[in-house]
Amino acid sequence: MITDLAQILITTLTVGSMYALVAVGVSLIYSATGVINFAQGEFVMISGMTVAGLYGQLGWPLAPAIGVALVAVLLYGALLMVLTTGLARRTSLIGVLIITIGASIATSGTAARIWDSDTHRFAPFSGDAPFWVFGATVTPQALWIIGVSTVCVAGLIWFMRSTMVGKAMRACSLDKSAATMVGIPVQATVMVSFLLSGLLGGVGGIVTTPLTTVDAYSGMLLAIKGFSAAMLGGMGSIVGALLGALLIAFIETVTVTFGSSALKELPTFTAIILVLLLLPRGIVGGRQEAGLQHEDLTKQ
Amino acid sequence: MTTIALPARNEIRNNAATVLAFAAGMIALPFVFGNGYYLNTLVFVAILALPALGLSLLSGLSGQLAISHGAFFALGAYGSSILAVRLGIDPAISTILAQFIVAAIAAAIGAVVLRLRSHYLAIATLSFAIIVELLIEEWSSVTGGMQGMIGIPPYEIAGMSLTSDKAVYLVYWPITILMLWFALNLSVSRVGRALRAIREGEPIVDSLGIRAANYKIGVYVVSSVFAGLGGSLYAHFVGFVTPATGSLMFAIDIIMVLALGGFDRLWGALVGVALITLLNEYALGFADYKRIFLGVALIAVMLVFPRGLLPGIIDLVGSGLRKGGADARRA
Repeated sequence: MITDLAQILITTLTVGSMYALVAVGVSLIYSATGVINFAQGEFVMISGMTVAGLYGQLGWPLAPAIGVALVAVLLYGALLMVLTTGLARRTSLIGVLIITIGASIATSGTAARIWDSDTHRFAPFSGDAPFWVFGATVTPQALWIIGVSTVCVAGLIWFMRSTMVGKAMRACSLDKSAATMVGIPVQATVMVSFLLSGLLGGVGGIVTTPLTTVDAYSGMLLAIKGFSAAMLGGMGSIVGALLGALLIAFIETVTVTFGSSALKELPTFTAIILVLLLLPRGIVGGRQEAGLQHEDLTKQ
Repeated sequence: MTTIALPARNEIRNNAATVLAFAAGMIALPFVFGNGYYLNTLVFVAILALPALGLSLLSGLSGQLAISHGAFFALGAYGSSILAVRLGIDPAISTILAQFIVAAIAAAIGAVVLRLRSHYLAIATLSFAIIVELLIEEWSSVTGGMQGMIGIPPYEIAGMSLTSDKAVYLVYWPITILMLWFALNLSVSRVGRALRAIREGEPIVDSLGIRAANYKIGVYVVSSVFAGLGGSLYAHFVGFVTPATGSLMFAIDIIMVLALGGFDRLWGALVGVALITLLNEYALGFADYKRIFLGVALIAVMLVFPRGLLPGIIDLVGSGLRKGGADARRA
């Protein structure tokens, strides 16, 4: 019993950290722009595939491979920002949603051409040998995932609360016009949101790929999970995204432990519908802002 | 707030005339050009136009985005196939029964999720679509699981089974055109006006004594039955169904169709379906190049023509003509 509990706890934390990195990224971009970024999972895919290619296949040392992967996701984040906000001023919210779907599809197709359609992974950072805590199996990589994600999310919360740039970003997400009036460069804060969001996804790809593997098409499902987690928690809230991710991971883990792994998504998505109905603005309430008051996504 | 254009009564007559002309053209096609593989492609256009028209009704009129049309397509396909194969019911009757099942499920789901708005509605309907896909994959004693079902019988009319492309074409297109006509009339009817008003703001509609919630559920059911009917027609034409039928990718395809055809144009949905089907059939061999091309094309279309490719081109041609006319008058 204690073994089961320990195993559920450690798996929930591992899987939850992975979802949290995506969910927090979704939430960041949403706060800054009102855009739901369907291409969020592509950050994870790009960095995972890059490190798998350079470090796993070509035999580069780990550090430069990680460096290249992070540069790649930063560039991709900048590209997404240009596509969804810079060029898309006349496009409706649903149109921007479609642009991110298009970006996700095109990116997975391109990745399948650059590499291939097979699954990739690379060696864990500290070896494969698992150890046991209360009878539960823990791999060193799981600790890496939990540790790095905790540092990233905690760092982000500190950044948003305590630095001038973070405060400017929060001001912009509350009221763009007022932020402009007090001299905050709105476009720059939007760019920072995309870059940070890309970095989070990129870090996620680097720490999780040794455990979960990656393929060219794995981005979309991850994005849906992250998007659901962010929404469960309350759109626009970092703590909410974290809670949502842990909740989804917990439901999945319990289902796999006591039920079938084939059906692991079923309770998850049922829970998403239920939570949305009972708490329409997510667990922590999310943000009441103009974007959500629009009932019509097709309005330009 | 924009004003809502009230459609004149003669729009219904205009619709009838355009639809009749279009129907005559489509029916004449195989007799003018003879048999050929193009008929097969056009049958798929007729089938896929139904879910696209359904989504166009829902999001074009009432501004609600649902990602559940792939799921209802699958429910229509599996519903009718299971009734026909496992219970031996005549395909035409099983198709009709399947639509009742689809309508009942849509009403139940709609009553629950349509209380949500915008992105929240999208994610709730997406969750429903994923649940349906999983149930189809896992409930293998009924649905055949990952392998799907084969040997689904074709429709029979007067003892003749619809197997040739031309026969299917001549039955399916009138059905699709009838549904198009219904959708066009619905959109200019009193109901259509109410739905367009909902898109501007539910409280106003409620304050005028129109129960917005009921109208939304109603249009969701109608829209889902469009998708379900498409699914049934699909299953009895190709003769097999798999979990890929109406999967999540399919739902996204249908949203792309609207991006091409325009969100609020029912005719546009038809053009969008034709474009995507042609691209799938003839232009793009490799799946990965297809993904790249479709992805880039979607981005380009939404950036250049935010209201969709077809409305964008119509605007361009329209302004070109007006300009041309002005130039001619000056000369």
